[in-house]
Amino acid sequence: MSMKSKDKKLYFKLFISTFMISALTFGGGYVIVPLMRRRFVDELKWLSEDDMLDLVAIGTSAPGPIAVNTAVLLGHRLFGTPGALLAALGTVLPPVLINTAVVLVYNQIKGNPVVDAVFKGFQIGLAAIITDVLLKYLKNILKEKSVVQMLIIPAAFAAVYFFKINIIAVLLFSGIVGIIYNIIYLRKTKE
Amino acid sequence: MIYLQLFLNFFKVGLFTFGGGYSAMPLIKEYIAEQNGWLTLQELSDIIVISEMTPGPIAVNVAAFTGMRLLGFGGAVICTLGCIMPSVVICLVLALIYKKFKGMKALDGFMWGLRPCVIALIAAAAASIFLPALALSGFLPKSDVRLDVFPLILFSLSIFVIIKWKVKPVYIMLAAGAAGAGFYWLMPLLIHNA
Repeated sequence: MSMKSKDKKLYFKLFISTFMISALTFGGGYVIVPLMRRRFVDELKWLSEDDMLDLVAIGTSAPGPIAVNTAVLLGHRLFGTPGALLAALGTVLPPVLINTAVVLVYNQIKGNPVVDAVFKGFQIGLAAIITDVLLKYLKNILKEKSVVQMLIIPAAFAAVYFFKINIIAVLLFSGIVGIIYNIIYLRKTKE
Repeated sequence: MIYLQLFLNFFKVGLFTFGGGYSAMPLIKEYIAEQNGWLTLQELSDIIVISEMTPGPIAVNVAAFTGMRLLGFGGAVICTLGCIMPSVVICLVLALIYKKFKGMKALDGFMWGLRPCVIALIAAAAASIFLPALALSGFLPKSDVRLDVFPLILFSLSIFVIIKWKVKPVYIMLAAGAAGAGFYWLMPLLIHNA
């Protein structure tokens, strides 16, 4: 077997793996990433556990969907830039294809009284799910016992919800507060 | 032109989404729904609901959905590309400078400040999207049955069940959908015909 066709086989395996994981996983990054680990660390043994932890750490702190970030990093670690692009493609293709079908159905059934009633129920269920997620996040923040972080929450909420300040400005401002605070804090602990 | 605008706005969503999960929701609400009117808040809430039951990250689902609705499959591709372009570029760069990135204290501080902010932004977006649904008030037509307690009861019940038994979101959604059908469709029908 020539080197080229062996490469092709590996590329194909990477693409199919990311495609299948993405197609069969409901929910975003936090659900997908453990499945990526099972496939690439446990089953294919293409990556070590430590490698995977590193990739997830970067993928979580980089902007954008965590599943896409982790796929790009994973693909890059394995096969360079072509690997990164293939893994990204494999990860986004299932939702893109599914959503084109979803739109066709949605356009048909929207306005149907039964469907609208079901969606009203869905909406309330989703509000509960998001509230639960927010409570969990909040618990994690409170665990760190930092007054600055606790103040950022109501301040950012008021800025966006009541004063309609630009979201990106609020995000960047909070990030800068975090940088400044950490620099001051680090200096204090050094002295 | 609209292709470019869609691409750029989804690029912005991808670039400023920190922390996965619902953190794309405030940006989508701002740049895709409110500022450009490509989705109504109702449609946005519908697509997030659908996204809960289909595979893929919320941002990618919303991008594909919005693009497809506005411009067909080509639109879905453009919006999705815009949404994941920052991820691809930034992660490729990070992969190259990874060793340095690991020790960057400034970035740790940035993320430290962002975490509580993202919570607040998600809460604010959720409040604008879902409060109207929860606060739905009034009476069923031609009856004295009040509607405005039902959403609150269903909401509280769902929260209770999630926290108490850690029920998976999919099941919560299915149960809430069934309850919605019963309350908003079946019950008015029965009352009208009574």
